[in-house]
Amino acid sequence: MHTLKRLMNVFSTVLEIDDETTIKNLEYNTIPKWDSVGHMQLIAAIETEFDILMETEQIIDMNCFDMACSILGDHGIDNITRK
Amino acid sequence: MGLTTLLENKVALVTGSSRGIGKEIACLFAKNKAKVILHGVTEEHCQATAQEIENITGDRPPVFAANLSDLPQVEQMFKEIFKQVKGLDILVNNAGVLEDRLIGMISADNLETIFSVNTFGTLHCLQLASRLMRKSTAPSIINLSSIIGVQGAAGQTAYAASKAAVIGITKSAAKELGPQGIRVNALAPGLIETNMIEHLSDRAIGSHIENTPLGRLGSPNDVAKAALFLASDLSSFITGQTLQVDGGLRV
Repeated sequence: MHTLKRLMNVFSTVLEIDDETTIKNLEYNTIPKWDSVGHMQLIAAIETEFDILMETEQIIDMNCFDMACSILGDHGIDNITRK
Repeated sequence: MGLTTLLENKVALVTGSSRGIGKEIACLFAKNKAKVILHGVTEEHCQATAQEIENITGDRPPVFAANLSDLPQVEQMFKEIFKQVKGLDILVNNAGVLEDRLIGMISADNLETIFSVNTFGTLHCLQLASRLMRKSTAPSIINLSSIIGVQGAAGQTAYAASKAAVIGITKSAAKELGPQGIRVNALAPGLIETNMIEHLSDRAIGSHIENTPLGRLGSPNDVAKAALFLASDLSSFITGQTLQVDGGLRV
């Protein structure tokens, strides 16, 4: 599966949102599901899905879908360019 | 204690495992069939422990070097652990430094040194290790506090503060990580026969023994056995606790 789609699925599952446009425009702490607890659940799900270990600064900085894409790129995950 | 299987198939990282209590914990875990990962300030520091474990298990354990007060170095170490073994079941936050200073002589540098290893290093490792424990069926984190962190000691205000903070970390982490099944406990050893007490006078040690109901100093093995208990399923419903290993000094 395409990397972007896999990342979208992770966000969708953890934040319980189906609409892709909503996810792409979402920011940290703007909905109840994406509070600090939800954030760590999201990090856990992304790390598990892509088999990576994020740095603490990346965890703190990941405040939107685009930033998650960028972080995956930093970890050498291919085909992550946002469409 | 002979070879047993309390930690069979468990992957355990023991920080500060080059000597003293950390070395004893690493070796006892290896005797109990854990896959032990060693840590020291340099890899060379851990070679004696690595050799001892190789003698026990037939396999040389992986050794990682990092200054635990430096988060990027700690993160790099955990990245390497992640690459090599993927997951952890047990973390023993053992690495620590001890420096005696009377009130009025505690400099900012002293505080920085003590807290950066004993407290910040413990927290750095706990944060990262908990993320490598997601696939573990029985994850356990053990933080080394000290009896000094529980009851204080003249001349050890900074050390006591750093070790009391470890108890606060332990309680908070137990509450936060409990829902993920991760148990977090602390050990508070009394006076243990290691090179960390070499500076104490015979009189001070004698007085300490007099006040200890069991009438002796503790050994690194005494602490290692308590760590084994907290690491294994023998303590499966225990979390957030500070277990004193002090011969009854503080009862």
